[in-house]
Amino acid sequence: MNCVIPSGNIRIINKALHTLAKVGDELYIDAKQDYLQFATINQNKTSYVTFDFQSVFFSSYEIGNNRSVDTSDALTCKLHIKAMLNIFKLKGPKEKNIDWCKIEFENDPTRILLKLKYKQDIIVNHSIRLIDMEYISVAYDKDKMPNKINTAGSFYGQILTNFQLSDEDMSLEIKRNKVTIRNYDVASDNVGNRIRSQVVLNSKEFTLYQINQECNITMCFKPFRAAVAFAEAFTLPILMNVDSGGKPVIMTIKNAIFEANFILSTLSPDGLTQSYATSNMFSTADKSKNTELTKDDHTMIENINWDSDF
Amino acid sequence: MKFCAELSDFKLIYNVLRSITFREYAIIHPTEEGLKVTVEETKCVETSAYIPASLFTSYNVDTTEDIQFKVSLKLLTECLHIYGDDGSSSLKLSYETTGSPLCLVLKHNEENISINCEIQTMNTDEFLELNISDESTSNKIVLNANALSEVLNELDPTSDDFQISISPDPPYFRITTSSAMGESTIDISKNSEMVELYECSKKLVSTYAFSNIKQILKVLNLASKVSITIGETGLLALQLVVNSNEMQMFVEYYVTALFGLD
Repeated sequence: MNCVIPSGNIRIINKALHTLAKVGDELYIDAKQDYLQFATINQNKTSYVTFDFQSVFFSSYEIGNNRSVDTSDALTCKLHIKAMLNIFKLKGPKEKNIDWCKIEFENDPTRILLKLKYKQDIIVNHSIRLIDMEYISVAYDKDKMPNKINTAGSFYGQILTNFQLSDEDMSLEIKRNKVTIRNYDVASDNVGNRIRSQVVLNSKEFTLYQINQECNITMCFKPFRAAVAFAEAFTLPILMNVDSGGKPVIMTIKNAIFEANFILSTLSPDGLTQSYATSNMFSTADKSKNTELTKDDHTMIENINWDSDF
Repeated sequence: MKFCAELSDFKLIYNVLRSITFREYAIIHPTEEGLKVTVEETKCVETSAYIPASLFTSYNVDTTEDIQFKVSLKLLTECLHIYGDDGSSSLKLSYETTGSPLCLVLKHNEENISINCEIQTMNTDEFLELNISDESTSNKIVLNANALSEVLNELDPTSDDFQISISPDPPYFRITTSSAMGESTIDISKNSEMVELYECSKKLVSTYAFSNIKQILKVLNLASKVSITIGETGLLALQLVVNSNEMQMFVEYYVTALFGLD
């Protein structure tokens, strides 16, 4: 694999990496025939984020075919995302100083090479050690999902200002004519002393509002925030594909040269188990989802005791 | 009175002193040319900030003897920042005699406030003054500090080693670091725009601890120009020029090479 990112697109790679770093600690680089994919999965495997950069995104994009021993059609490597973040630190003027950046994965299967060429005749080479590969396969088909909501990223940005950073879960009640976003679960009888917020949005607020099946979903705020921040940075719309509670939500942000997908698992309506269909779709999610839930339950119980003691 | 000086604007001095506060204590050495503040660590790293006498509105030093004393640099910088970032203030420094405290009078220019601080001084221990002029050198490189700090900030902060190689042939100036995550090399050609001077007659390679180098990166962020020299024994000398509002001061940094590599 040998691909060159031109100066103008380094900002996109930079933002993408920072968005991925908000979700997971490891970065999967996957070179497909016509696109390069950056992906990450969070520790309890409830959020999976991918960024696909089309081959036109690069000024040159080559995948060596000499690796015929490996029958899989793609090259995959895994590395610590921190190693990449150091290289692509968020800095405005610096990005302009870079002529190009080359990602090379060739002779040494344990390392990936990054070469940066600066305008001032400086060449920086980074050789990053790869970590043991573990394959994740996440299969989903967003076209078959019954509910689709599309609107500008900045719109979600405004909604998020109504919630606290400490809010962990967001629940969406999707009706045929409106959506209600809450930072608490209506069904749960958790009497915390925190602020309860809810925002009601009319269907007319959205550019696309296509609901075939009303539903209630609860998901994590953190990756949602990351997605919104990325969409806002490039003033792109976010398309939310929603099935029903317990099944994953897919948020898509795309333009002509790249596409980002945020696959976020949701709590099932009974609040205890992850439904079966989901585990088929999102195979790695089921086990950890349960443990996370019980942890949540514990804190919930603790909270209540603490309150009554007081 | 052994030493007495006044200053009207010390923001730059505060920033520089704060960036060299790697250790608690510093040695202050007022001379006729200016004030020298030295921070030394385990006899292998030494950083000195020079505040030229011309920066002071008045500057008097007793030249009959050598004045040197040790103060807590942390306290000194805290005192200099006593009014916070807003407002301008002026400073008067005085040191009566051996054993007396360093007196600071900080006067706020807008409000009618003045604060007196006394910082206890200590006698200096013997310390090794590292000096590049004691060594034979065959190289000197002057670089634009902004551009250099930009590329150095890209390096993995958890790196262990920092190797500099200077050579009269390509790749000219090369920095190599290694960490648990991998290795990085930075190549700077002698024809690069950021290079102002490149003198090198003999290839030299020397390795330093990255944790030591990291300290000077803070000062490098403030500097406009940096001169790099490596001595025959591997002593690395950096001379940095820090500018702000037509004020200029210097920072000198010495670090010895790691022993027993190669």
